[in-house]
Amino acid sequence: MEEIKLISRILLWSFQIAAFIAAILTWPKYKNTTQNTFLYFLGFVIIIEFLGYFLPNQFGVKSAYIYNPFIVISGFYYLFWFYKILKIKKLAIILFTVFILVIINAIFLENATKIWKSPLIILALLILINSTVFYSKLLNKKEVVYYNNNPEFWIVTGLIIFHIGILPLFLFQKYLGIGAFYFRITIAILNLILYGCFITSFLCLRKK
Amino acid sequence: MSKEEIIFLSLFCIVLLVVFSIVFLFATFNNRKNKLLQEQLESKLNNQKRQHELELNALRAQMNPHFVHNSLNAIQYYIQLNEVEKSEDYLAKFSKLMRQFFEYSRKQSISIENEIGLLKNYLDIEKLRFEDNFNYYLKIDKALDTEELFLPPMILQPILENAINHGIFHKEGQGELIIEFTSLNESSFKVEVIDNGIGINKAKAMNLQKLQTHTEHSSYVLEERLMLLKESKNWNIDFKIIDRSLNSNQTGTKVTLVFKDDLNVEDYDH
Repeated sequence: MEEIKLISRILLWSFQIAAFIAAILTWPKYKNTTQNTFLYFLGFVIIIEFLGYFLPNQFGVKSAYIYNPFIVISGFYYLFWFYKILKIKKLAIILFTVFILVIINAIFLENATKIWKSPLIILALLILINSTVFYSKLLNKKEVVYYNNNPEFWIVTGLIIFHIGILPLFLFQKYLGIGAFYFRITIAILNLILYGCFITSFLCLRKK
Repeated sequence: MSKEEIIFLSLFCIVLLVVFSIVFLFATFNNRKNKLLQEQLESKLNNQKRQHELELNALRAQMNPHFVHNSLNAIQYYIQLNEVEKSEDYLAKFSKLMRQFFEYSRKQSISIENEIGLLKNYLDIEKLRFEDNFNYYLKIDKALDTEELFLPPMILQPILENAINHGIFHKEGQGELIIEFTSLNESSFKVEVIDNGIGINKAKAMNLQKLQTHTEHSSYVLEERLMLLKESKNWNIDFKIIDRSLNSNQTGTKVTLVFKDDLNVEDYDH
C-alpha cells in the first residue's frame, strides 16, 4: 500500500516537473499569449506539492492546511484564465461570485483540518461550464481545423477530464474514504492526465 | 451491496465517464475538422473548375471565328495578288500563332518574352488585315527582365483584340496601338495598352445599339479571370481601364495591368 502511494506520488511529481520544464523550454513561444502565467502557476504547484509532502511528514502539519488554500488559489487562477480566453464578462462575474460564496461557506461551515469538499465540487462544475463555452466557441471557428495544435484546447481538455473525474469521486467520497487506496490512485491518474495535457499544450507550440 | 462493490462501481463509473468524455470530445472535433476541410476542398475545387472554364473561354475568345476567317481572307487576298513571299510569310505567322495559342493555353505562366512573341505574331496578322491603316509600337523597358519575369498566358491578347476590333476598327484614319512594358521593381512590372480608337464609352454605346455583347463579355471574362487568379494567391494583378477622352483631348482607351511581385513561377516556360 505504502509502495503504491509512493510510486503514484513520484509519478505525479515527475509529470508536474516535466510540465514545468516544458513550460520553461517553450516560454518564448507563448510569452505574449494568454498562457503566459502558466509557467508561474506550474512553479507554484511544485512548491505546494513539496510543502504538502514535507510539512506533514516533518512537522505533523495537516495537509489540508496546504491543499485547501491551493484549491482556492488554483480555482481563482483557472476562472481568471478562462475569463482571459473567453472574454465573457457576465459569465466571469457570475462564476467568480459563486466560487467566492462557496469559499465563504467552506471557511465557516467546513472542517479546516480536512480537504474542503464543496469548493472542489463547485469548482469542477464551474470549469465544466467554462469548458463547454470554450468548446462551442472553438467549434464555430475556422481554427478548429488545427485544434490539436491549439494549446488552449489541450489545457481545457486536461482541466475538463480532471474535473469530470474528480466530481463523482468527491460525491462518492463517503463510500470511498478520502485517504483510501482507490481514491489516491484515481486522483493520481487524473493528475497525470491533467499534467500530460499541459505538457502537450506546450509541446504543440513547437510544432506550430 | 457491500462497500467493495460500491467502490468498484463508483470507480467503474468514473473511468467510463472519463473515457466517454474523451472519445466524445475528440470525435466531435475530428468530425468538425473533417467537415471544414471538405468544405475548403470543395470551394478550392470549384474555384479551380471556374478558372479552367475561364481559361477555356479566353482561348475560345482568341480563336474567335471572325479572327480566323479575316486572317485567312487577308492571306488569300495576297495569294490572289500573286504576292507569294508575303502570303507565305503571313501564313507562317498564322500557323505559328495557332501553335502558340494551343501551347501556352496549357501553361500556368509564360515569360514576358514569349508573351511578346505571341503578341507580335497576332498584331502582324491584324496589320495585314488593316493594311496601312494600322500601326503598333511595342515599348519595352530596358530594366525589365523579360526572360525571368512571368505572367499568366493569353492575358494581354484579348485586350489587344478589344482595342483593335472595338476601338481602332471604328475609327477613321490611321489606327495606332501602343503596348508598353515598364519595370516597377525587380519582380513587379506594369503593362499599358493604349489605342487611339473611338474609346471604350463609345464602343459600349455602339455595341448596345447593335445588341453585341462580345466586348462586354470578353472584358467580363478577363476581369473574372483576374479575380480568380488573385484568389488562387499565385497572382496579384491590378486591372484598370479608362477612356482617354476623359483625361485629355485624345480619343481611345488605356488599359493598365500591374503585375505585383508575389507571382508563381513553378510552371514557367522559357
